[in-house]
Parts: sequence; structure tokens; C-alpha cells
Amino acid sequence: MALLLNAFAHFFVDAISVTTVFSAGFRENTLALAVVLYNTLAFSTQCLIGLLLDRWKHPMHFDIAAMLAVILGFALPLPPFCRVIIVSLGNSLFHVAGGTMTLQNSRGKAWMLGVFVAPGAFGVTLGTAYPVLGWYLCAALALCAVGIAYYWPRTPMTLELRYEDLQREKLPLGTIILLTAAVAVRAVGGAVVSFSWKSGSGILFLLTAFVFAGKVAGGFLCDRLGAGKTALLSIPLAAVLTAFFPGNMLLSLLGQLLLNLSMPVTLWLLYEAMPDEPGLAFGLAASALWPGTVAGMLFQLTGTALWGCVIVSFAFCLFAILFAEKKLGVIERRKRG
Amino acid sequence: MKLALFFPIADVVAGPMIAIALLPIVLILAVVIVAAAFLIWAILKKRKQK
Repeated sequence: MALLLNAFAHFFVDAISVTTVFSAGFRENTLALAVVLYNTLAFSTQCLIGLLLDRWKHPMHFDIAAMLAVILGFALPLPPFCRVIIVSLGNSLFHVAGGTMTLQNSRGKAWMLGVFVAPGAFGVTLGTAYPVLGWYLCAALALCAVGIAYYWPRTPMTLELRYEDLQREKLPLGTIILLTAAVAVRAVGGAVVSFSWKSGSGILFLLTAFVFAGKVAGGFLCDRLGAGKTALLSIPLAAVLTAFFPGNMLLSLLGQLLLNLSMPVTLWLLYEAMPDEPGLAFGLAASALWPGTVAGMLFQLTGTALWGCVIVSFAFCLFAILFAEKKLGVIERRKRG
Repeated sequence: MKLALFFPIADVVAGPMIAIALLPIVLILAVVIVAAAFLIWAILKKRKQK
């Protein structure tokens, strides 16, 4: 129950954060700066917060503190940039704390991760399209916080069990670096493509629904088929659809769904590589997304260069997943049951 | 991916060149933060193992 509430809270936290940026009172020339500041603080700090959180061992405290910070960032009559800083750091803290709680209780399964990360996409879209809903979202988030404070202490922990099962003599440093790089490189491939059909809130919600479905399904598929097979099923086709059919709405939507199938897979593999550091595993994956996306925004590619960039970046991600799966011995453990 | 997680900067505001000009600095900063976190963790971990 606490994990389900955290998934709902993820939706509200992202929606309130985006709402705050849009309703804080920025003028046209400062809004983009606020957006860059928000994304940088909300994403890049997650690895550092993860590092700290793994040493604290009580993620629920941070989870609830983060929700409070996001509500205060929205509600307090502070200067706009102060509000953006508060919500972005609150957002970052919430992601890592919520992700840690999810990983601690995932029993080695990926589906919980998918369910936790997916609602954020809807939160961002709702906050972008309807920033007037801020107060209602805050009330809903406060209810989630109360629910989590009640249910979480009653949730049995599974972290120790996983840690003993996965303890390794040697640190898989190379695999962790490769997976982190794969997340960033995949984000480059996703960011260089622009969709000409993407206009209007209806289309925005439709696209978000496909992204949401991809992330949720990715977790379940990873549990059912394994990380490698899920990646093989999704990434090559996602690359073709994203690279060659950005003008076709239906095919692009399918491409986004397939691309997002691999998202919980990389996150889950990172956790498999560092099972006693769930906060850092989650934080590294999230932090790697932002530089990848920024790099993708800096290039205006067309034609062969665009196709090449998408294909190569997605192929690198596929290679990283297959390599990590083999190196971490995930297949053998699955066979052992 | 971009749409699901980030504000689409260029779509929201068309002309803020200063924000676009900042992107390379943001990129370097973001990479440095990830690398620093990873290094700190690796050092702490190695020490713990010894």
C-alpha cells in the first residue's frame, strides 16, 4: 500500500513542481532559465542525494520531508527563483527516497520500479497543461504523505534478504559505468528527434499515456522475460520507429512505448549491480538522463545524421543491457529461481 | 523520453537565447556531478572492503 501511495505521490510531486515553475510569476525571458535551473537541480542532484540517503537508512523520513518541501515551494510567497530551487530539490529528494523505498521492497522484481517511475510522466504533462490545479494537487499530496507515514512502518523490509543474495566479492564498477552511460546515451537519442505532430494538450496526454504504459509494462516484461529479452524486444524496433518515422504519429507513439520499456530495465540492472546502495542506483540513473538530454538538445540533426545518432545511441543501450545481464549473472539467478 | 521527464525548453519559450547558451555549461556541470558522485561512492566502497 505504501508503495502504491508513493507512485501516486510521484504523480503529484511532479505535477506540483511543474505547476510551481509555470505559476511562480516568471516573465518570458526568465522562464527558460527557471526551467533549466529546475531540471538541473531536480535531476543532477539525485546521485548525490542517493549517496547520502544510503547512509541514512530511513528513506521514509526523506520521502515525507520532500513532499512537504514541494508543497511549501508551491505555497510560500517567496521570490520565484527561490520557489523553483525549493521544489526542484524537494523533487530530487522525493525521487531518490521513493525509489529507495521501492527498491528496498521490490524483492528483486522490476515491476514495482516501473509502477513507481511511470506516473511522473503524467504529472509533468498535467502540470504543464493545467497549472491552475496547484492547490488541489497539494491537498492530494498531503493525503499521500499521511498514508505513507501510516503504512510504511507496517511494510516488511526485504533489503537485507536481497543484499545477502547479491553480495559480491568484486565491485562491478565497469558494468555500473556502462549502464549509467547507456542511460545518458539513450537520452541523447531520444532528445535529438522532434515530432512535428506534437501539438495540443490532447496529443500531449496521448503521448504521455504511451510513455506511461511503456514504463509500467517494461517492469513486468523484465520480470517475465528477463532484462536482455525485454531489451531485444523493445530497443531495435524503437530505434527504427524513432529514427525513420518521426512524422508518423502512430508509429512514433509506438516507438515511445517501446523505448520506455527499457527504462525500468536499466534501473533494475543498476540496482542488481549495487544492491546495498538503492539510493545511489536510482540517483545515478536519474542524474545521467539530464546531461544526455541536454546533449541531444544542443544538436540539430537531420537526415542520415539523425538516423545514425538514434540507431547508434539505442544500439549502445542494448549492448549495455545485454553485457550487464551477462556480467551480473542475472540469467543464472533467474534459472535458479 | 524527453517529453516524459523534462520541460521541453525550446517548445515553452522560443527566444530565450541566454538559457540555450547556458546549456553547454549545464551539460558539463551535470556530467561532473555524476562523475563526482560515482567516484566518492567507489572510494568509500573500496575503503569499506579493505
